[in-house]
Amino acid sequence: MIELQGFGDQIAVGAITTIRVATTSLVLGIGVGLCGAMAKLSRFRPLRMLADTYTTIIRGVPELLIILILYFGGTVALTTAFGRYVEVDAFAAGVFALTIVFGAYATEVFRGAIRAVSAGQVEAAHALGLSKIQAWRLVILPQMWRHALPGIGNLWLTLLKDTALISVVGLEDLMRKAGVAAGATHDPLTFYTVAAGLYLSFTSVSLVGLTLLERHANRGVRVAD
Amino acid sequence: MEWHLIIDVLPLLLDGALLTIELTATSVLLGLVIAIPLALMRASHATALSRSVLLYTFAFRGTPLLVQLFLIYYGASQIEWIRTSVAWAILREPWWCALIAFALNHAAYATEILRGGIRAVPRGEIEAAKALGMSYTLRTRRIVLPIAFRLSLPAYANEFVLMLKASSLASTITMMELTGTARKIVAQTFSPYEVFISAALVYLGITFVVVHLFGRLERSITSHQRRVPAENDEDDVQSSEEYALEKVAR
Amino acid sequence: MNQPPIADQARDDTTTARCALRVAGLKKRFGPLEVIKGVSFAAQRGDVISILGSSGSGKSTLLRCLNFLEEPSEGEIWVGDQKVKMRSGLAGQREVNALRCKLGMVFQSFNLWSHMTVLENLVEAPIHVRGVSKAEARLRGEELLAKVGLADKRHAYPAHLSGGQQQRVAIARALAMEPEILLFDEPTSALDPELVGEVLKVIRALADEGRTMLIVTHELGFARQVSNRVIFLHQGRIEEEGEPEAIFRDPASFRLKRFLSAEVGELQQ
Repeated sequence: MIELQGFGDQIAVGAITTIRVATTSLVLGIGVGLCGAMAKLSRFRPLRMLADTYTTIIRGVPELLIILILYFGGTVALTTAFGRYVEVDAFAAGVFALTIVFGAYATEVFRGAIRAVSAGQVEAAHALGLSKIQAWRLVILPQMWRHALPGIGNLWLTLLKDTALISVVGLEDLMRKAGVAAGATHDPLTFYTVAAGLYLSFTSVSLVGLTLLERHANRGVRVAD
Repeated sequence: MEWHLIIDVLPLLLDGALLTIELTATSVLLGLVIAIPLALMRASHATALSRSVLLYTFAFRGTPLLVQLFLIYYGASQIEWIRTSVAWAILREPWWCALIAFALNHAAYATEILRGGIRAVPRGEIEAAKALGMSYTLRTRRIVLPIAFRLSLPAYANEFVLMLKASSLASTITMMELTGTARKIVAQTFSPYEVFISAALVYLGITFVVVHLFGRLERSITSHQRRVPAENDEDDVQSSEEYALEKVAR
Repeated sequence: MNQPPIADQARDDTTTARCALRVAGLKKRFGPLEVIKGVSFAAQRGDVISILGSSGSGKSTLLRCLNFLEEPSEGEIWVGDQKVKMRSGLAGQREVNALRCKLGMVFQSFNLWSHMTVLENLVEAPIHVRGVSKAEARLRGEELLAKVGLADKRHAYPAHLSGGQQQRVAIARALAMEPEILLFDEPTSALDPELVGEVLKVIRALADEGRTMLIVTHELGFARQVSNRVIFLHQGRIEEEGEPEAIFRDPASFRLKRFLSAEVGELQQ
């Protein structure tokens, strides 16, 4: 058994924080992505340009830098606003940053997925008298998920790994806890390996889950052999 | 927010930007060199060979780059025989640690991308090479790999950009590349927004150039495939620029 | 109308000297499925043999066994007067590559290398496999291109050529290696009807030169004109074999009769 020298509990806490950050960012990021996709598909040109600018910028800037901007910049902004030193919560800054990043990539995934829902389905929906909103809710969105799943799944895996970056601004996640333990025991190999192992297990479980989800989403669809 | 500061800071970030480019280019090159034989193994029909490489790519693509970086940078010093050997001179330096971590990480992704390309090479063209008496080495070198590279280019261009962004992690092990330099200046000037935005602009600029260059490379390399379009031809072939701009993360 | 057993012919020295290719007891299994169930025949120098049969008869597989694109499960192959030894490992691979230099193959889907120009396609194997100099290979390549009527396309890419043109380049590419025997695997099946003629013309010219050729084809009229022997394959065995006129006018086996009428019937539709 790996000798964790009493840091096992802390590592577990860190792992849970990592999961919390990831899942929170996932949910919010999907929301942002859907909005972004709808913006990109809208008839309103300024909206499209805004969405384009957003995605282009985010995809050209390192996630770490975005985290730093929001954390340090946020601290400065809040301090100025409140008149005294207010530090941004690392969790909030981290989730905010990862949500923005996830949302930018998710915008593209959803945009492609929405377009992939065959136009015939939408026409049929309108022909049957469904309103636009109903068509969206009952026809487009459920089917869009099937197309979006692989892309979103990939993004989720990246998101899981990117949470490690928030440790740089002090979030007490798995990475940071491993670092603290490593520093205290002068045993970076053990603790970072344990961290790697935990991340790998998160990834593996996610992959299994995604495969099952995809299979479920693709039931009733004949795939070309 | 002092807008002029964003511009003023740019020259100070230049050295950092150069280091970023240097680090990215070297890591990518080294990673690619490692990836070629690995991709061939991964694409082979021998399951033992393929699976062992899969272990490697799975491990490196399934864990954060930051962990891999720290394992090498902090972990190397812990191993007795590394500390006392010639390797220590290398593994002590953040530059080399970063290079090794980035190269290994990039190689994992490049291996999978290239493997996809290799498997997409039309089987008939490989058979023709066999029928003409070409050995495995010859047809891999002259037929399979050239075609596989062309097929992999869009996905690979995307990977290059991701590596460029990942290079920012080197700042966590004291390297003064673009992000590291920006942090230093922020600590001195207490203007995080201006300085970081300036750094972001530099990254955007570099990304733009890289994507453009890859687009040109792809156009020149696939000129053999562009037919004279017929009137009702739909040009739905995606260039690497479009792919990179559209592609979602790994 | 079966030929006398090949083994008897083997003892005659004069026969083997002219014998370009001999196959004895060839079998090929894919897992539990036996596709070729014991095929034996011989091709003399200058023979043009058409191999006919319905799909699933194993005719393509037979051809592919000859140059080891498929590894035969059983049987023996002689090329010239040399028996092809089947060794494993690196030595075996070198044997196979040497064998493939003697057998040129033309595929149904042309299989030109898309990233190389026409001329580059032609000189690639001679330079890298036979060690021919670049200048000489280029010269020979241009001669061959002229021979198949495509001299002006030397710098074009395959994607810019029609199917018929690509197939003619493929034939030139096979010829560039100066093979002893040419194998054609349904050379015109993937072509639009109006392009078939130009390819058949080239193949006929090669036959007239006295080359040894094995052609798997559906073009019965062509087979009748060009070949001096026809082999009809059915479910992995040689059902009937003989001279084209005899076979076509008066097929002995019922299955061949049925095959011929089906093919002709399709043409008449």
